[in-house]
Amino acid sequence: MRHLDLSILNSLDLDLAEIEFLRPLATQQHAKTCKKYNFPLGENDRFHERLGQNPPKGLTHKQHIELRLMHILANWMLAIKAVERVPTRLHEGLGTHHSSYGCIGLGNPSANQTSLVGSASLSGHYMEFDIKFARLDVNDRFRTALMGTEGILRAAMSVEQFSMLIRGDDGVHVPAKLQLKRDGFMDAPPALAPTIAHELSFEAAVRDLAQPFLLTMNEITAAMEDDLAKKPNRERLVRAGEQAQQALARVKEAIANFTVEAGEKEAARVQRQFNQEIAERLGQLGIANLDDIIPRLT
Amino acid sequence: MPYIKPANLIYHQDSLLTLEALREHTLASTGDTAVQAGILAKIDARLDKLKASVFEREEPNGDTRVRHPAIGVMALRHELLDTPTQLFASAVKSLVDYTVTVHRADAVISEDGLIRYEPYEQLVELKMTETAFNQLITSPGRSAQPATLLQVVGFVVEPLVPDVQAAAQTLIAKSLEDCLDGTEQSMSVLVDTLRQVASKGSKPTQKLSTGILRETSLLCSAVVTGPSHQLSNLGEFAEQVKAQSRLEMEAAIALHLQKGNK
Repeated sequence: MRHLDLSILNSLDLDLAEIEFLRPLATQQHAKTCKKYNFPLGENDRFHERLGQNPPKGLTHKQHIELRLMHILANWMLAIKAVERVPTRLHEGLGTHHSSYGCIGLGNPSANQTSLVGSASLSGHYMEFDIKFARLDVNDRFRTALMGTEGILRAAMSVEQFSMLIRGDDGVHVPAKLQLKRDGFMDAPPALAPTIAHELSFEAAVRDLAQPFLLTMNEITAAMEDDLAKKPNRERLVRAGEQAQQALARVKEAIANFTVEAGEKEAARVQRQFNQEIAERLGQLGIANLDDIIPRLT
Repeated sequence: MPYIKPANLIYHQDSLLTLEALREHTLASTGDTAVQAGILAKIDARLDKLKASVFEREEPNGDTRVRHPAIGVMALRHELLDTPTQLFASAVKSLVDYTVTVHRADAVISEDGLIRYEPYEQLVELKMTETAFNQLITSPGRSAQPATLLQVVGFVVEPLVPDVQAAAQTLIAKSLEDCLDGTEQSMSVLVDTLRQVASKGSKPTQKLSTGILRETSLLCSAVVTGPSHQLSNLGEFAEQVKAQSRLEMEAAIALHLQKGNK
């Protein structure tokens, strides 16, 4: 099931006149499409729920999005501003709600596998900051309670990156996977270095190397389809098998060489990344050129 | 593109499709052409912005610049403040603070795989007190700690106004006063009742006498427990203020010494 992200429509900053302009055709189209697919034309939430659980058969991705869009346009009543304001509320002259009131929370290390930025996800552990707007409730006349309200942003990082953030030098930039609430659904960040959890793998390179072997294996499959009652065909099958065996021996060597080389290259890359970061740090402290004393990672 | 894969663009593609569909719909709609042109302009501007939010390109020096909305950097600065400053939901003024900033950033990857991050858009800036920060990183689970927001992308953030927690001292004092006022009021109600009984001349009913006795004993305990409860609250609050002030002082001293050494 695919979503239509309402946040993309909200970010357009359409005013009421513009929403009204789009409505008549949308209502008409929506009724027509629903009739065509024999899909019940219902009220807001129920419609999306039903469409998610039991969509009409044979709907393409684009048609699916259009169906949702027409439903939203036909029922859209309020203009949502691209830049929002937070209302201010007071209790006996003192603030309880205000745009500058926020709260920040930190999740326990989670064992969920997620794509982080610039970090191996080998351990699969990550920490997540959750920044929200907040309000203060007054209980028992003077006791206050902090309550998070609308979410603003989540930033996830590995446990090592988190430690660097709180123990590292002032203002050090630590990479984080961001999820801005107003942007709605958020795609996973691209992998910037090879990780087991996500793409940027060595699979394509190994597949290229193995190509000669894979081709000879195809030959066997083809030979199997011939009439094996005939002797020449059976002989062809044996030949194909032997060829595949030889091809595997050659390919095996090439793959072994490649993995050793790639492994060394990867270790060297991590080493260089470490050297660069340390050199930068020593440079900041005015004690650069200490390459000799930098311990080796590998 | 070696880094950004189709799996990193699922929702991005959905958004593009949505805008394209809306564009077609706008063109097909009839009515005020000025309104139509306005909507189209907004859609085109948003489409351009959306397309520019994800890219991967080669720099002249051979580096690869990767931009994706989920890539960002977070930074923390522990700072000595010039003057004691009131932050959100803090009972004491702060001498030091933690400033947290979150930026969207480009990842710049060199030919041999080194990654650098270059921030380009600030999303959030907030300040935390020494106490809030320490509680944040030592408390287990997702507890929320107060943060003073300075900037939030997509929202108008106004300068901080004094909150109820910052004025807790005034509130406790007021509460103590209210509590004695309440007792005084109940007392005057009781006196009125006694006057009525006296003016009647006859013996009060059994029900009325029980009521008077109960009210009397309640007032006796209220005059003691009410204020003493409020006072212990005040004591507890003072203890909290002391601990927080001490923390602020120690942090300020440590930061001051550290800055001096640099």
